[in-house]
Amino acid sequence: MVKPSSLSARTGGFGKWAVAFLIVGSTAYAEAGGRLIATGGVSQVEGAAGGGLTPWALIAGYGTRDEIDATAFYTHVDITDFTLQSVGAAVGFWDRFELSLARQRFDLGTTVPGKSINQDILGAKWRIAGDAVFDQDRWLPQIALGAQYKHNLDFDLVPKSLGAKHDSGIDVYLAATKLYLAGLAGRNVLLNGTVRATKANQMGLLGFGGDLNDSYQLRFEGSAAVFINDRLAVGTEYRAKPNNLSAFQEDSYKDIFIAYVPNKHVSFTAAYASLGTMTDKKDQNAVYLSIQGNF
Amino acid sequence: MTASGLSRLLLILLPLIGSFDANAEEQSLYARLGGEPVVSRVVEQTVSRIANDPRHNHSLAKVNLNKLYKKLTVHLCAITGGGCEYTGDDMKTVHAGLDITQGDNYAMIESLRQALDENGIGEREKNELLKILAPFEREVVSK
Repeated sequence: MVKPSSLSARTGGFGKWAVAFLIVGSTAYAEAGGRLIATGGVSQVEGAAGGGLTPWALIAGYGTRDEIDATAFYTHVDITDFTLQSVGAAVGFWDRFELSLARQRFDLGTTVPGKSINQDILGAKWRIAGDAVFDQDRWLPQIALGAQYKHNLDFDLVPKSLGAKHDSGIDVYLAATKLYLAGLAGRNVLLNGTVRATKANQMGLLGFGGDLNDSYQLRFEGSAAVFINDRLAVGTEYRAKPNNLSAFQEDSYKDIFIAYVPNKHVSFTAAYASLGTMTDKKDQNAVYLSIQGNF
Repeated sequence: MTASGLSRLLLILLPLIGSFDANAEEQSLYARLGGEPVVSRVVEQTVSRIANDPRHNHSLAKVNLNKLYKKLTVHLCAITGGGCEYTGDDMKTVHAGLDITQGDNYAMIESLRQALDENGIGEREKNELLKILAPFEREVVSK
């Protein structure tokens, strides 16, 4: 587990400590849980188990119904005019519940030189039906209900002046995930669909609600991945978002990713993302790099 | 990059996942696995690894392993289109009272995939076999 002190780090050392901790910690600690390799997903940018952008119905870690397992992650997103970092941890309980905590730091680049917006996200997820791996004879996917409580720590810096209404908000989502064994050309395929009720602007980095809209809206998120083998997957994601602020347009996120899971202790994800307009900057593209350790 | 640009890039990446083998569907999975010699060897390697693993071998303690290898090989032959007739008890009866945990079952699957790798079985056959075996989880895991 990541210590609270590194979660609250606000300086440039944000990422360095997290990566060192993940590499040393995940190899030094005891066995990972019993589930099959790569079936815990990676760490989503808001801390939940999922793809990079989207929470999945899978429970974090490799814990079976008899085990508790934890993951921690550090994600660095190098955006055309900004930088987003996210660090956090998740605990999966009995392949049923998941609790996650993440801290995001969004460096504002030339938009507001030298400043960043920080956000804390507390997540919970409950698997309500299905097993993504074992239910191969049923159409039913694994289904989970989740929530993410987000608190923007720098609301007065930028979000408020753009017309955002609240410094915190709760996203509620329903995710359906299924693994289709030998689903495409003999390879295993993972499909995920998530519907999220949200008021968040740019995931909450620009606050919640706005002058155009201050009520919950449903937005779709989807992921598709093909496992080249048990350790290597390529895929794509899509995440639609509300458009609450008249000051600046907000677009959907899209990415293509590759995830490498050399063993049950660590995974690496790289992605190329198209993020659209972010504050005053248009056509923002990003290189996304993430490391996850398993404890 | 636009959405259509992303999908074009995906189309370029997709061939990486392997060639589409049109002839693969014509033979049974059992035949493509290599028939009785390979399947029986895979069974023995899979089960003996678990029998020697103190974390998971409790359910095999009182089992005659040679008899188990033979029954499992016939069962696999029957469910993968090999034409064998499996006359043993159903999976629920066979595993009843063995206190097999989900962790034990996952370990058996991992051992199976390792054995398939060791015998040079391709991704397609490995995944098709797991697809057939996966639903038995509900009958095998009793604890």
